[in-house]
Amino acid sequence: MTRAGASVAALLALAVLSGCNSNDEPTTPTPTTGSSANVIVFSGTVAPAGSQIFSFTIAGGVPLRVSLGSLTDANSQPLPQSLRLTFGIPQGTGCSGLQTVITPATLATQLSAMLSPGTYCVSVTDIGQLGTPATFGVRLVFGDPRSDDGGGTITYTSTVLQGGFTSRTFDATQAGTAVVLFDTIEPGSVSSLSLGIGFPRTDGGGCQITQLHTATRGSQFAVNVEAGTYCVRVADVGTVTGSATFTLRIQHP
Amino acid sequence: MRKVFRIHAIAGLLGLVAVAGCGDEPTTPSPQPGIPVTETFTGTLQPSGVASYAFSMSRAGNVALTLLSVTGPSVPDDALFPVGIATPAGSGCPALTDAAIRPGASPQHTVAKQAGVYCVQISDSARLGAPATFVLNITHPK
Repeated sequence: MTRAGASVAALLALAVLSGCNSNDEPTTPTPTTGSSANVIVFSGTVAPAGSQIFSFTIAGGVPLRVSLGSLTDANSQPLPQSLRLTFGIPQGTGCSGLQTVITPATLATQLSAMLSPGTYCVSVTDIGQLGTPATFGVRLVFGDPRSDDGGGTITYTSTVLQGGFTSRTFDATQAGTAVVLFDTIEPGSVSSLSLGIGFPRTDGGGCQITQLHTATRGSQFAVNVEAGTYCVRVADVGTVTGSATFTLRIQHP
Repeated sequence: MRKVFRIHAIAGLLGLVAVAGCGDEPTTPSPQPGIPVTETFTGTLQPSGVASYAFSMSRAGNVALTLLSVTGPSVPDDALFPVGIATPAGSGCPALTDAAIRPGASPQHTVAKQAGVYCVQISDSARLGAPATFVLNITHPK
């Protein structure tokens, strides 16, 4: 085929295929109101120089908040390293970024968007800081979890068996600072317990840890949170023989 | 020379028809929504493994899959490779098997899809004896 002939063929294809549809106008998302929110926790293992992707489909307009909430090693110890967190649209074997941030794990929102109906993805990628595979947890909050219930204080008393742990959740009705006050540990021979603060996994996998502290009697820990559900996890750090009973208070916004 | 001029004139008229017939003239010459594009998905398929690739369509139209080649030290000549198209979900492509295809130069599977984001999955149904490299063309409206 001559070049001119090819031009004709190409234009014919254009004439046939371009059509007159104009049904690809962007749709205006309808924000949700009230305190309803759905949470998905995307968790897994990211290898050094590796990446993981998670895709999801939204039927209606909804606000989305994304946070890399947890990054831990094989022993569930929080890691300080940062990952590249991307929100975008699935493309090829990756996630084509609409928004990207490099961040360590925190309970704060790192990416947010008002979504139109469609299929989207988030991905986490090591930027060369990991030396060994790490376990991550990315929290996706769809909707607005704020409520007018107000903050309060929860008293949590429980028993930790030797080598064991226990956990419970608490809600923050708005953004603010949550404070955990470790009041008592019995018997007196147990000097400390491990206190993890994080968010509940949505697959029944327990409390995904963001921060880990050594809690002694009278110690307190503050963490900035946004509206949503969080958790504390109290564990033996090798100091418990038999069992230990503790009491802590959670002051939440 | 006259023939070339005539072809150019026809081409120009066709271009006018193509543009004037629509109310939403493009502001940039390319890319044109709806024009088929071909994305080439090249990867390694492990024995009994799967691989997937995502793409977007701004318009409805046909998606054509052409498995150009599967090469490796242990690829049976009669091997068929299951392929499927789905919407990406979770950490993978939840596609069922739409067709079992053999490498060739022409599209082996074509299906109509609405505008949206899709993924293609190719898998090995326990025929490979060793990892194999594949080349899969995905042709779809832009």
